[in-house]
Amino acid sequence: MDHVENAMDHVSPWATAPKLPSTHYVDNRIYTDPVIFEEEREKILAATWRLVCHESELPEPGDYRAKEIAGVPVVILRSEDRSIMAFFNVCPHRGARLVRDERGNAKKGLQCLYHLWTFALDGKCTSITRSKGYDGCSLKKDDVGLRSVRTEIFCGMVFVCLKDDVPPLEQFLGGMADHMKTHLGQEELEVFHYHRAIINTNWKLFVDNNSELYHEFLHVLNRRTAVAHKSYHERNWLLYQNSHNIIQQGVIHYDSYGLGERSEGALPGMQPNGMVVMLLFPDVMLNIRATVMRIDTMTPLAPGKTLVEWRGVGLKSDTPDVRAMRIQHHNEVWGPAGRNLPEDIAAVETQWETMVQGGSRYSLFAREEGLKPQDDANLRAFYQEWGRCLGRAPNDPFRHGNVDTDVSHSIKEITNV
Amino acid sequence: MSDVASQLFEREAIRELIARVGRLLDTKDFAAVIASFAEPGSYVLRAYSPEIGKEMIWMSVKRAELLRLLKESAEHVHDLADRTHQITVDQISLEKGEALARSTFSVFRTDMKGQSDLFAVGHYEDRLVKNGDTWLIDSRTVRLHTRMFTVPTPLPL
Repeated sequence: MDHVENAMDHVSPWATAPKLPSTHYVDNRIYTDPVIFEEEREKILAATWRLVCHESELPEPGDYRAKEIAGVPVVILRSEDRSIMAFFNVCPHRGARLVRDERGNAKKGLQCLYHLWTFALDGKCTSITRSKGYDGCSLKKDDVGLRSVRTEIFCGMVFVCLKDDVPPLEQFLGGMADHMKTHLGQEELEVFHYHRAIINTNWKLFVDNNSELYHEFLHVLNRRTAVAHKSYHERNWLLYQNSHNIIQQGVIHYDSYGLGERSEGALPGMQPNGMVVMLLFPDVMLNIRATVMRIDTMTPLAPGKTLVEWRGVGLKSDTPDVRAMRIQHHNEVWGPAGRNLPEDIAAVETQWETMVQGGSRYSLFAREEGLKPQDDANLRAFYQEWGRCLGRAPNDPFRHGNVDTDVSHSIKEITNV
Repeated sequence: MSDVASQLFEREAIRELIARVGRLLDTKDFAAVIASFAEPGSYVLRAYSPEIGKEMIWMSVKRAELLRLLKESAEHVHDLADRTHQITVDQISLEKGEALARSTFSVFRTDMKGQSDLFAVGHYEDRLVKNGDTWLIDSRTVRLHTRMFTVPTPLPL
């Protein structure tokens, strides 16, 4: 018995809430609980602007991309007048999926495979098979167009929002819009790399991984080229409303790892060997390593299953030689055969394994370094915004009664910028 | 040796080389993998993305860079699973001391619990050269059909 009591004494500090401010830790059930996951789908993933693709992926009228947003199938397409629109990827007749592949061209319009109803690129129904059968109930083509989805394009990035009562995109982006204009809005960009994977972890754990620079210690490449250098630590996070944030540009010492300089062909707004990371709530990371940009987006499938899409981006005006350089720089670090991605995924999947078994109850976001790179302030802001959206306290998500979703701590950090 | 016998002999040597490189990758005998490549040698990993409609290069390195990647792999956090290559050489064409070979491969991954899954499927397109009596890979292009990896890896396939 003594032995058991002693064991419990040893364990108890890990089973009770950390003695930290409520903003400085989260209860790991926010990652594993299926009820919370469903709430996230409704109150965050379906209720915020979501990046679905870059406009360079839809170069011609009729080009489309199919996606799922919070479980809802959506088709994004370029119409005859070259504007980009989005619709539920669903036939309004009986719910069959309209577009079954991920990408294609529907210049002649969309046709449902089931009963052959057709739709124009603006979503209007153009024909109903044997339409006379509907004369008795006066159903007309005009009554059965595709359900449109709010779509806005900012700096070539195509965003959609399933909810009609959400403020416009630029208002949502707030102060981040200027940073995006600097890096994405000066020259036309083009996606040259795409891959994806379903990773066995909660989507927020991969957001954390993308967001926190403290995790650079995971990567031997980053240890030598970034955190080992004093200048790396001499810049700040800039935190914005809605939990968007950006780390000020730093210089990466590629030579410290025997990799080539990135002094030629820097993307707009970037200095030689510069690096910038921007995070858009809830799931987007824009990471620029001087000559090449990586864009991450996520589609949470279940509490422990997340579809991640990775894009590599250069300039549309790239010569073949310059494009080859950008691809090389991309692949040195990123991509499925890059040095860093296997390490990131190994880390977040092991987190999930311990959390889902109840072996890890709390996660700490308690680093305070005056908004320097390895301060956790941006993560705290993320979870405060998460808590506001769900009406749950991240550190105590199943508390009964009124939930304190005070964001004053984060706002104070924002005003400190 | 007759021409026919000589050709059969060379083809068998090439088949053995391609199969051996697969086994060497599985056993992580990276020095022997590198020794199977000629100088300057090249290794290119390609895949086509239907999502963006583009041919992609996921890795393109010379022999020396491949050696470096393999040497440094131990210091990275890496997949602890075992891999097993299964390779079928589909076609070999010989011409004046050089050869082109096309193979189909699958790689199985066996995790630490002993569960095996298909990890990757694709083709090798090898250009081979003869160094004395020994065939070496001058360039290997890996054309991946698999694009979603359960565990990404910088190790060559």
